[in-house]
Parts: sequence; structure tokens; C-alpha cells
Amino acid sequence: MDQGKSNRKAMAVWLALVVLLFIGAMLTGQEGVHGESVQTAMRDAVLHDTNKVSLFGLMNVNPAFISAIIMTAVLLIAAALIRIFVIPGFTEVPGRFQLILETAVGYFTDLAKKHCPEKSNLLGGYIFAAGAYIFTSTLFELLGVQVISTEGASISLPAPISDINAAIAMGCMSYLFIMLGGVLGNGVKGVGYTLKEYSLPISMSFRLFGALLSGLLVTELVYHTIYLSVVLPVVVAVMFTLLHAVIQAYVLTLLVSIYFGEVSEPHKKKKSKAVKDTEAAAEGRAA
Amino acid sequence: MTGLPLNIDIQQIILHVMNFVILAGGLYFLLYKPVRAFMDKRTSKYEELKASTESEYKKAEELEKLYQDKLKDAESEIRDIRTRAKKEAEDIIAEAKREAEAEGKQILADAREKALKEHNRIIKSAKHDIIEMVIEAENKILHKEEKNDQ
Repeated sequence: MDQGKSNRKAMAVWLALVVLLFIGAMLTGQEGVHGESVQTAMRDAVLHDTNKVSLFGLMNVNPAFISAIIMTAVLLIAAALIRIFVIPGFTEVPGRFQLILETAVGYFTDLAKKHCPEKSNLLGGYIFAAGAYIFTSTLFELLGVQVISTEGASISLPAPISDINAAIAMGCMSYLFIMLGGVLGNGVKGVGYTLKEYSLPISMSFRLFGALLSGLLVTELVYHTIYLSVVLPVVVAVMFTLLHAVIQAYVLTLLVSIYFGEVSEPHKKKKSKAVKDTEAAAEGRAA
Repeated sequence: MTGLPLNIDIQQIILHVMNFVILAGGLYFLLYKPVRAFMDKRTSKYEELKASTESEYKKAEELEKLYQDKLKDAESEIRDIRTRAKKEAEDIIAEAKREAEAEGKQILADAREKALKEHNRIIKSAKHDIIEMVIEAENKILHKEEKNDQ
């Protein structure tokens, strides 16, 4: 009874605090963020041409590349730790973490085996890495890691794929990987089979970029409307980010698997018309 | 490189490619390959177990079939033995019957022969007595006639 009363009291205090903060935010809020117009913010979100970050003093790069480097480092360190401490202790009846790892690896292995059983090891390795990269690097923007730009401003690091250069890199690399599959499966003819799908690198690049960008733009728009900037951006950002992380990782890995399997599959030689006619006549006689 | 639309930068693209190649190689060798090797090893172990179980099961089925066949053979053998024993018993009975009949006939023949011999002996003995009686009677007659003559 006393506990219920104290719970209600604590809830009332919490609600009062939330209301006070909301009123405070409404009273002290200004239009835009740091006086930046929505046009400028959205243009920078799309083009990444305003803010650059110095890469160890060697060159100025887009903030998305710093995000990509951080994600790569995190993933590789995590993979190394798992390799050293977790994998040697794998048991035949898996524990929770082992089950997660096996499910992830098993999913991409099955996908690769389904579309290209002959080179499933190569394809599985690529789509595993691509899926892990797209999924984790899309979630990276939720962390809101701050860096100082070359202009001296503090900026929040975006998802790597929200930079069109990263999306083009993924799209073109996937296309080249598919071409490699064609060459491994059909020799020089494999290049021809892959070149037939000439629109693939563009479609894959812009699909990734467009999907990430749409979420980003919606979030930016929500942030720039003061009445919507409380609570809602958190929900919208998390929802869009999670959806994009899963969907884009799934779509790209699935497309790469399908096209890789298609071009690497040994193509049978086309029969000449005379041979076809002879075979048809033989079948007719047999019937 | 600048001048391309949408702030596309070849240098940035190459940097991203390099970054991903490093990540892909690292993830492949550190995570994907060992986990897959473990899973493949476990799968092959269970497949071997399954294959050996299936082979043992087949062997057991073959053994069962063999025993069933043997059981059928044994049943038919028992039937044969029974039939043979019955036939043997019938043969023995028939033989005994035949022997008894033959023995009976022999006994009857012996008895007849014995009776005949006895008959003959009696006849022979009677003949001798009759001859003696005839001789005696003749002697008596002769003696009587001699007496009369005197």
C-alpha cells in the first residue's frame, strides 16, 4: 500500500519534471539550429560539402568517411576479440552469443549456397561483410558522435552510406565483385554477362544513398520544426534508422547474391538451328 | 577531384572502397571463416552420425530379416520332422501288423503240420495195433482150428 503511494508520488514528480522541461524548451527555443536554415542543413545532409574533417592531418575528408573508419575499427576489434575469446570456446550446443553469431553467419551462408553453391564461401564472405557494414554503419548515426570540422564547428557524424561517395563505393564494388563471379564461373564471357547488367552499379549505389537520405531528410525536417523537436525526433530517427539498417543490408546482399549466382552459373552453349531441327525430328520419330 | 555533381569525389570513393576491403578481409578471416568452419565441422559430424545410424539400422533390419527367414525355415523343418515321424510311426505299425500276421500264419501252419504228424502217428500206431490184433486173431483162429482138428 505504502509502496503504491510512493510509486504514484515518484510518477507525479517525473511527469511534472517532463512538463516543466517541455515548457522551458518551448519558451527558450529559437528557429533553426545554430541559426542554420533548413535549406543549408538539408543541402549539407545531401552533399556533405560544407563541413570537412581532417584525417590525421593528411587530407580533408567527408565526415561520413570518419564514420566508416570508426565503424571498421569497432567491427574489426570486436571480430578480433570474438576470434580470440569466444570462438575457441564454442560448444556443440550453442549458448546465446554463439547462437547469434551462428545465425548471422548461417543466414549469409545459406543465401550464398542458395544462389551460388559452387562459390558459396567467397560470396558468403562478401555478403556477410557487406551486410554487417551496412547494418552497423547505419545504426552508427544513432550514436551522434561529435567531431570538430576543419571550420572549427562541432558536427555529428552521419551514417557512412548517407554520403553518396560511400554509396557509390559500395555499389561499384558489389558490381565488380559480381563481375569477378562471372569471370570465375565463365571466364572472359563472364565479363560480358555482367556488362549486360550495366545499370546495376548505378541502381545499387542510388538505392543505398536514397534510402538513407530519405530518413535523414525526414529527421532533419522534424528537427527544424520546434514544435516537433521534442520526443518525436527520437522516435522518427530510431525508427527510420533501424528500418534502413535491416532493409538496406537485406536488399544489397540479396541483389549481390542473385546477380553473382546468375553470372557465375556456367552457361550452356547455344545449339545451332540444324542441331535443334535434328533433335526435334528425332523426338518426333521416337514419339 | 571536384566538379562532379552531387559532390561526388573519386578520392572519397577510393577511400571508402579501401576501407571496405580492409573490413571485408578482416571480418572474413576473423569471424566468418572460423564460425563457418565450426558449423561445417559440426554439420559433417552429425551427418556422419546420421549415416552410421542409418547403416546400423539397415544392418539391424537385415539381421531381423535373416532371423525371420531362419524362423520360417525352422517352422517348415519342424513340419517336415513331424510328417516324417508320423510316416515312420505308420510304417512301424504297418510292419508290426505284417509281422504279426506272418507270425500268426506261421503258428497256424506249424499247428496244422503238428496236427497232421500226430494224425499220421496215430494212424500209423493204429495200423500196427490192428495188424497185431489181426495176427492175434488169426493165431487164435488157427489155434482153434488146430484144436478142432485134433
